[in-house]
Amino acid sequence: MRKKTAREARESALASGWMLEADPELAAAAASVGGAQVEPNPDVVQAPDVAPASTAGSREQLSNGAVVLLGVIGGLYLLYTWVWFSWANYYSQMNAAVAEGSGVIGSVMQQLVFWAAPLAPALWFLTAFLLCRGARTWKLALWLLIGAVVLVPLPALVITGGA
Amino acid sequence: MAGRIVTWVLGVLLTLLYVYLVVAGVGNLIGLREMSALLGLTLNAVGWSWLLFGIALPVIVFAVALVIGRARSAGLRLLLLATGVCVVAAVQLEVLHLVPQSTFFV
Repeated sequence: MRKKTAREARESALASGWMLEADPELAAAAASVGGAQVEPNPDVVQAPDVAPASTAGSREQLSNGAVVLLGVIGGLYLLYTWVWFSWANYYSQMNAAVAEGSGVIGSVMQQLVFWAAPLAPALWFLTAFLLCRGARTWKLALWLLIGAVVLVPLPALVITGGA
Repeated sequence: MAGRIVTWVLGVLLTLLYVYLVVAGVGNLIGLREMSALLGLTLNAVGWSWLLFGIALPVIVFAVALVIGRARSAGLRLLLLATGVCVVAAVQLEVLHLVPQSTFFV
């Protein structure tokens, strides 16, 4: 049960600086009557009787979440690119030294393949984005998460003796 | 017309990369078998499975890229093929680094 006493935002007696919450509808009524503007605190959970407003807010939240997700995964992919780049560098140098005597075409192709690895995260991101352009956001998120699993640079995470 | 030619050329080049990956995988298999025979060793199950994986992966990825790209625009199909090559390259680097080749032999 909610107390029906009319409350406006006021300074708490508990601790200075703390504001007690204004009742939104009463505050609005007071604002419309008295003209005094009292902002309801947006941090506090809304009362259930303002459900329409909160659903509109949740749709907004979803797209914000998607943007945050894209940013986080994009950053992760950038990190992957960096790690793959360093490994491609290492292996291409090693391979160039080892395979000096082998055929030209083979070594050129092998170098191409080595240097393709760092491009994988960026291309995956682009491909997923273009493929899911018309689709739901969760589909894009799913594909990006699959990419984050497939392309995780395990050599950087696991320390072995190496081949 | 010119656009179509460029698309086909790019597609053929990407396909050649896949072909190279398969040929290199087969070459690894043959080469390592010869080498192990010279040393009086044989490939064990681990070695066989990794080498066959190296041959099969480009084929599988190529097929998947073509299937996903069905009924898409030409550019998107090329992008899919390119992404596939890069993913195969990344996975191969991973295998190259994580699986010591000394475990391939008995």
